[in-house]
Amino acid sequence: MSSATERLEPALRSNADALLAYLERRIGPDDAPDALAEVMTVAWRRERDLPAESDQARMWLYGIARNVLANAHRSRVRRHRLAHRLRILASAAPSAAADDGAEVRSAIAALDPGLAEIVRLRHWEGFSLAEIAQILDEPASTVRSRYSRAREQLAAALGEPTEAASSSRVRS
Amino acid sequence: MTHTLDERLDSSAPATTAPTADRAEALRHLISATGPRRRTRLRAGAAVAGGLALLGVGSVAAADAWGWTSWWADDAVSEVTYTLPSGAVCEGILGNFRGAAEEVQAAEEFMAQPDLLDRVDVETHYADARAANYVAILDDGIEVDAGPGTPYWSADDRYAQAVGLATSDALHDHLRDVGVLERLSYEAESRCPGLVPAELRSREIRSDW
Repeated sequence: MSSATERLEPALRSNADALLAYLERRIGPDDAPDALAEVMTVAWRRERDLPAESDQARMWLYGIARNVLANAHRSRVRRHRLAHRLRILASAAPSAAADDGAEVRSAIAALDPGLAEIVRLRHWEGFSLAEIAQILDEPASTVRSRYSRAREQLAAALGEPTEAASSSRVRS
Repeated sequence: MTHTLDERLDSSAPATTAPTADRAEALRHLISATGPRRRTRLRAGAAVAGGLALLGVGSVAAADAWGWTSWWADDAVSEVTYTLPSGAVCEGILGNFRGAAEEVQAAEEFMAQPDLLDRVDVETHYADARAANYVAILDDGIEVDAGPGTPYWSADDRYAQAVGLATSDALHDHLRDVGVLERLSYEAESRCPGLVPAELRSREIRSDW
């Protein structure tokens, strides 16, 4: 087994739950297992590109997942036989309690898609802006300014006070 | 607004399915099933008669370049690469396994073994092919010998068939041994350039192999 293979399997194991949750949030629990199978297949195919550091590997996997999602949005997610059991389990598993964030999700969805993705990665997946810049393969300064713009638009849409958008909670 | 807005954004994430032990197991299986094991190429055992060898070299990217057309190609269980007697490289994929669940699982695991060719006797099958009787039917209806050494013999074609037969036989023997053989079927797609000489393509050749 190659060194990359030896590193990829633990990277997939440690990130599989988070990747599945990420995909479920984007395309729903029914299609997410198939998308995850595609993410894993692509990751194995590109295993030689796996970064050495675990944090970087995590960003790399999310980058693959993001590309898979882009393809999934263009065409219906292909059904993977390999994901069948996971799909059954996911549909049978109790979901988290229904949340009351519909209004906020609508406001996020109304943003420019690029801004919305930054907000989702920051607040739904818990990435720092520096990490998001890596996933999106964009300069960190660009991501920071776009995030700031997104917050201003969200504050206006949700009736929040339009103060300065900078936040001590923003990790960068 | 920062605190309230952050809280609202943080709590707006759509609900996700709950992790369970079964789900964790399914994820582990998915990682394994999508990994290199299922993309294993048949590796060389001992070199077989005539200096032939089965290769385990080459990259997945190179295999992908073949542009498989089968609908199940992306979920192929194995990729096969071997050299033909002519020196040409033949590649194939195996997939779309159908049958009882236990049968399919056992078959896929067997075919994905890195040392599969240790269990696949291509040499014997190819020797059987060479020892068989072949008759070509010429345009005027005359029957002539079409075995090795004649213009109608394609070592590449027979060798590729021997690989397929040896693999299939080994698989079915294994499924019988573990008691799950019922109604298994699977498909293969192969690309073997120059496998059959043009003059043989339309020629009827009978054999007892």
